[in-house]
Amino acid sequence: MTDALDGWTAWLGKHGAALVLLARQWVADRADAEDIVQEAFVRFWRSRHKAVDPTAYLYTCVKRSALEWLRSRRRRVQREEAAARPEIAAGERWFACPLEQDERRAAIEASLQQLPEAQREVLVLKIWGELSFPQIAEALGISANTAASRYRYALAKLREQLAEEPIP
Amino acid sequence: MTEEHDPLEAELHSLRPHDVSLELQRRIAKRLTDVSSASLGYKPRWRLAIVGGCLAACLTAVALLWPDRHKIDEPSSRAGGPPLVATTVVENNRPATLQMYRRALAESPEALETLLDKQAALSAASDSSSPCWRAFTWSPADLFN
Repeated sequence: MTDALDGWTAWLGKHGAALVLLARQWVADRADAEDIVQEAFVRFWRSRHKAVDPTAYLYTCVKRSALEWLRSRRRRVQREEAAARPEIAAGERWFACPLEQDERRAAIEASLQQLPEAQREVLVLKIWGELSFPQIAEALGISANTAASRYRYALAKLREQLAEEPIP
Repeated sequence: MTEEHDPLEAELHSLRPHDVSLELQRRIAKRLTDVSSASLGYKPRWRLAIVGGCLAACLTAVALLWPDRHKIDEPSSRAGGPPLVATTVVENNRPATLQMYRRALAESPEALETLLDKQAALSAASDSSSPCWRAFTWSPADLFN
């Protein structure tokens, strides 16, 4: 499937946006997220041949780099503060969308922010990373059943939080 | 598993994350290029080390095994090494005959003394354990004490 991609540019083109989105689960700043993705991608490209599932390994590298970034930069407190914020500052949006859908987008992003980290990262990998549950399990070091459960809980919670918001 | 055609899932799928910036692509390209250059520029220095070691070993062997030319002209089989005085005696490596003694005595006392010295040196070179011959072992004065 995606393993047939040749060249790092193809890999980055297919997964880059989702990788940055995943990194932003741990850092609020997009620039910091891209720094994390840079380190993770270089690490991945050097050692991808050792991975059983290179796609899952790529996302594993991003998560590890994000955690290392947090430890080294001592941003844990800042991350908690960023997670508590109900709104995301302009220019730091996660998604690109037409202006008429911007309000809905903001609501979804705010709801995503409210999800537990374990559920949110599964949701990001499934929806925007387009990974299968076995791949998500490989990337996060959990079982496929656990990944599927977290995904269901995340959707249920999002659905509940967005219930008041009209779906266009 | 999730329900098929879940509207929320479809809506979430419709949201596209921002693409990676050009700056990030350039930085990754540079990092990967640096990694590749470092790999290609690696020289097998261990090969140079092995060649240098072999060369040093060869030079050492040549230095140790190369015969010393200065020793070819000197007698190396004599134990203790021949004294310098016996160098000329070695050339006439024969004990003096009676005729040689008579001829030396007829010539002069000094000639006889010289012949005696040569024979003494020859004897010392052939057998380092042999006593050192001297004309007299005691002084004439001792005979009268």
